[in-house]
Amino acid sequence: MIDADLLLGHYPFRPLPAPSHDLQRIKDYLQVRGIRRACVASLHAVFYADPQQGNSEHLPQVVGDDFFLPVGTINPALYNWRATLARCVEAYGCRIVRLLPNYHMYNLAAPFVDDFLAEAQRRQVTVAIVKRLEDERMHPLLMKVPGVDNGEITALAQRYPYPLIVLSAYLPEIKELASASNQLYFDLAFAETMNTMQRLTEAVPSERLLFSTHTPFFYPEAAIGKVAHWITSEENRQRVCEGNLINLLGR
Amino acid sequence: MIIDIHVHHTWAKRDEPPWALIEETLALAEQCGIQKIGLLGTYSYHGYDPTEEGIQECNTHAALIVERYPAQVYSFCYLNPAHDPAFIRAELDRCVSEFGMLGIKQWIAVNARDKRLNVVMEGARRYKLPVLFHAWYKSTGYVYNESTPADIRDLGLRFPDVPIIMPHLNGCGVRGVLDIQDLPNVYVDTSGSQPDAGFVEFAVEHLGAERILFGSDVPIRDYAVQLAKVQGALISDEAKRLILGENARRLLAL
Repeated sequence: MIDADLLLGHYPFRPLPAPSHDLQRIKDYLQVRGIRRACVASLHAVFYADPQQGNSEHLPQVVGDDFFLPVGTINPALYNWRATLARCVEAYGCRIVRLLPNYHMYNLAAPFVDDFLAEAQRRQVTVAIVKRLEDERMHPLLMKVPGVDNGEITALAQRYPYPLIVLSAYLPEIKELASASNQLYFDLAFAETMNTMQRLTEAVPSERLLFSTHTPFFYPEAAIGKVAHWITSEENRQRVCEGNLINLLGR
Repeated sequence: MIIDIHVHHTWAKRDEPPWALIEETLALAEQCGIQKIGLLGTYSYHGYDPTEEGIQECNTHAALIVERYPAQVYSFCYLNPAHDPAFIRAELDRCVSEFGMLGIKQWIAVNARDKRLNVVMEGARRYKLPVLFHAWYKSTGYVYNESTPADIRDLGLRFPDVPIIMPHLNGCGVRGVLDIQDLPNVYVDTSGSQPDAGFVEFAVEHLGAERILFGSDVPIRDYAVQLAKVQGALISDEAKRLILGENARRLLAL
């Protein structure tokens, strides 16, 4: 399995039990659970004024490690985004970069987002949009951040004819987005209902789904359980657990 | 033995028993190693403030499901404290005497501080039944008469001899656990919300594993995901055993 969403670092509002502050221990923690690679981003990059400070804190440590796939965090509302993107691609080897519009307080309709996407495409980097980090009902009262609106993502997909990853969407949101655009890919971490994978793949082709654990916020056993209990062909399971992400990284 | 204390049935149309859906629910439970599931009534079909007829229908449907699958399913009695006390007593008598229900479910018809609950709690005391009372600390706002863990604390103090189950551990959060920490009659269940890490560990540390019960909130949720909250928690195997089944077995005398 390849995990599409692992975060490194501390969360300011509560301690998280997985050892996400220690590279070797988090690798061991995931490997023992059957995960052989993980896309990893800096959790600190969500909260620092300049996400590059978070990128530079965590991503240089994973360069050259065959377990981690570095994912840069970009805030295209900042004037340094071109330099940050260049750093992520050239120094850290990122094939994916992520945007957190609602944590970084901008709208996906902003003109600078289009400029950023054009540059990301020129560099052949896949862009991931993070809808949320936690269930909104459980947000600390000090920091309530709504999920990224589906309408913003759909409009963006209409302007940008390349694959986009949508991370941390709920199941109804995934269904709505998948029916609106066929270039969107979705991770599994927040999708849940009874018999999740069966219900999800009735509405969304398995070619557009990516296994992810959202560690350290979630227990990896949750995502592992979803795909383990999915009654399907091994081909489908392999596609969701690894193949789709490998295809995206190789484009 | 794994016992799920928090499952809903989805009997939405009076004349159309949802046997296929229930059989899918049971098959999925078995696939995940869950031997017993507890029904808490429908969610939302009868509304926030169900009528007397709605309450009777919900309980009758639950009883029919238990009757069909007695080895795998048990049920709680759903009551609305806003109803006439005589009706509440009669419905509880019916659910316990005729159907053998093992607990009482309270949702959001009234808040946990509401004194109209007294008749329900006295019934629970009389029959020695636990009361599972919906609660949550939501940063997005509350619906109708929804209770917070602080409201559950108030109820727990008023009825110290009645076991109360405060569901949705992750939704109640750290603050919710602290609210009921010193009330030995108040349990928590692990149902609902995302598989957020750290809350089960916190609850074990502050309440003890003996006061935590596994619940899934299926069909809103997925058994495998909800089990992961306990199976993935960094707690002892003995604590997992208690949470996953032993505590419920003792509390419900299963």
